[in-house]
Amino acid sequence: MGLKYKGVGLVGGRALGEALITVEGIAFNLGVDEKTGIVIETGHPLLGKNIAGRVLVCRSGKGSTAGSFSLLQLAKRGLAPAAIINLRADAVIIAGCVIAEIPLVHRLDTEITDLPLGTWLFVDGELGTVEVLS
Amino acid sequence: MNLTTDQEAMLAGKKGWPLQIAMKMLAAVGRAQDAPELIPVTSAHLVIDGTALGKAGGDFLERLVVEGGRFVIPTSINAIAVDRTKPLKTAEEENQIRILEACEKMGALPSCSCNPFIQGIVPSFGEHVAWSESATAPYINSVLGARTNREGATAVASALTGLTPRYGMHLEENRRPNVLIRVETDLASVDQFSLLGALVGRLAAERIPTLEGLTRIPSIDDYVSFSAAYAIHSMSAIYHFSGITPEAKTLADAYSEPAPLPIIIDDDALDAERRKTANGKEGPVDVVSIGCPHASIEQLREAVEKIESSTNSPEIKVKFYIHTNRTTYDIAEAEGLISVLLDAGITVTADNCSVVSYDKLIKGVRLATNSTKMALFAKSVCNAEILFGSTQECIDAGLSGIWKG
Repeated sequence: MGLKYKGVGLVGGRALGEALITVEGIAFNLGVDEKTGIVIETGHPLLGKNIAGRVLVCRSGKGSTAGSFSLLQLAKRGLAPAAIINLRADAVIIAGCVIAEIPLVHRLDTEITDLPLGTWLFVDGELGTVEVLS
Repeated sequence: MNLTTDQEAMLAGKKGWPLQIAMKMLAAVGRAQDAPELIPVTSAHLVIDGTALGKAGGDFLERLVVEGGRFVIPTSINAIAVDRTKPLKTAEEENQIRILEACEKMGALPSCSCNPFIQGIVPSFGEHVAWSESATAPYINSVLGARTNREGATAVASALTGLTPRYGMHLEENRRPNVLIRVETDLASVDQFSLLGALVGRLAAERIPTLEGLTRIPSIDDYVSFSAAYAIHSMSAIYHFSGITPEAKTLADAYSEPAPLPIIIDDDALDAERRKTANGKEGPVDVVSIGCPHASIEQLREAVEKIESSTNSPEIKVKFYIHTNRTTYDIAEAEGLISVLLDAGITVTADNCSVVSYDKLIKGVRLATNSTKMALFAKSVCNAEILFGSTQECIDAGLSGIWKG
C-alpha cells in the first residue's frame, strides 16, 4: 500500500493511470486536440503531452463552456483521461466527467503537484480517495 | 447537499436515464460548490454548436430524446454552426441539424442566437435561470438583474429538471462589487463598449467591478458588446454601472466599508486597448465581420444607411459578413433592408457566425471588425491581422476594400 490522500469525490468510478500533472487549468475545448488527446494550447506547461489514459492532475477546467462536450468526444474515441483530480473543479469539467463517465475528485487534503514523474495513481471517485502505487 | 425524495429518486434512476444523468450533473456541481440545495429555474439557454459537440454530443442528445427526456422550462438555443435555410453540404453540417432537431424534440425554441435579448427572450429582474454562452451571463446578471451562473452542459441538466444548485450568482452576497472603476472617457459606439468590456474584464479579473462616470445610458447594443468582451477576459458573471444597472442602487452603491480607490480608465487607456486589439495597419482588407454578438435591427439599418449614402461602387471585393439571428433577419427583410445588403455584395447570415461556422477563415487573413470577441477569436484560430474600429469604419472598409486606419 502506498500513500493515500482524501478529497471530495464528485464523479464515481475507479481508475488507474500514470499521473500527468500541471498547476494550470485545462481547456478541453480548443486546448486539447479532440482527435489525438494531445494538449495544443500555446504556452501551456503540458503542450505536446497526451492526456489519454492518464490520471490528469490540474487546477480546474478553463476556457469555453463547450469543454464538457469536448471531454465526451475524447471519451468516445478512447482518448479521455482515466481520471481527473482538480484543486477546485468547475461546472464545465464536472458536467463533462459525468456525461463521459470519468472519475473526478477535488480538494485533496494534501497538494500532490510535486509527485515524481512516472507515479501511478489509483483514483476512487465514489470515495474521493487517491492512492499512490509504489 | 440536501436532495428531496423526488430528486433522490431521479438520481437513483427511478425516473429514467435523462433525469438521472441530469441530476448527477447538478448534484456533483452542488457538492463541489457546497450548495445547500437545488432551486427552481425558470428558463435555460443551451450552447449546442456542432463544432464543440461533435458526433458524440449529437448521440448524447438523441439518446436523451429516445429515452424520454423533455425540457420542463422555456429553453432557447445559442448560435449554431450552419444557416438553417442553406443546403447542407457536409456530414458535420448534417450533424449540427441532427443536434438542433434533438433539442427541438425535447421542447427547445430554435432561436439559434448568442443575442437572444433582441429576440424578446428576456428574463425578468430576480428570476433564477440557467444559461450557457458566457457572453449572456453578464448581461442577465448585470443589465436585467436576473440570476445565472456561467453554465456549460449543466444548462441541459437544468432544462430537463427545472433545477440548479444554489451557489454563485444565485446568492446575493456573491453579487456585490469589490472593485471600483471610474470611466473618464466618452463612449460613442459599440466598438468602444467592446474595448471597455475587454479592459474592465482584465482589470477586474475575478473581482466584481462597479463602473462610475458613464456619461450616457448605454443602449442594448452597447450592453451586449460590453458583456461579450467582459466575459472573455474575466471569470466573473456580473458587473455594475453605478446609478444605471438595476442592482447598482441596492448593491453596488452599498459598500460595507468606505468605497475603494477607483481604477481610472481614460482616453489613453482605451486607446491602448484599441492598439492591443488591432495588430494590422491601414491598407487592403480581406474580410469584414459585423455581428459578434448577433447584430440588431438598428445595426442593419445603420449599415443600409451607410451603403445608400456611399459613393463607392457597390461591387464589393472583400468578403463582407453581417451575422444576425433569424428574428432580426425576418424583420430586416420585411423592411427591405436585406435586398440592399445583398445587392451591395454583403453576406448576411442568420443562425450562425464566423466563430461557430464550419466555414473556416483563411490563415493570416486581414479582418476588420467592431468586436473584440471576434478579434480575439480570429487571432487565435487563424492568426488574423485585426483592423478594429466602429461599425461605420468597418462598412467603409467593406465598400472600398481599404482600411483607412
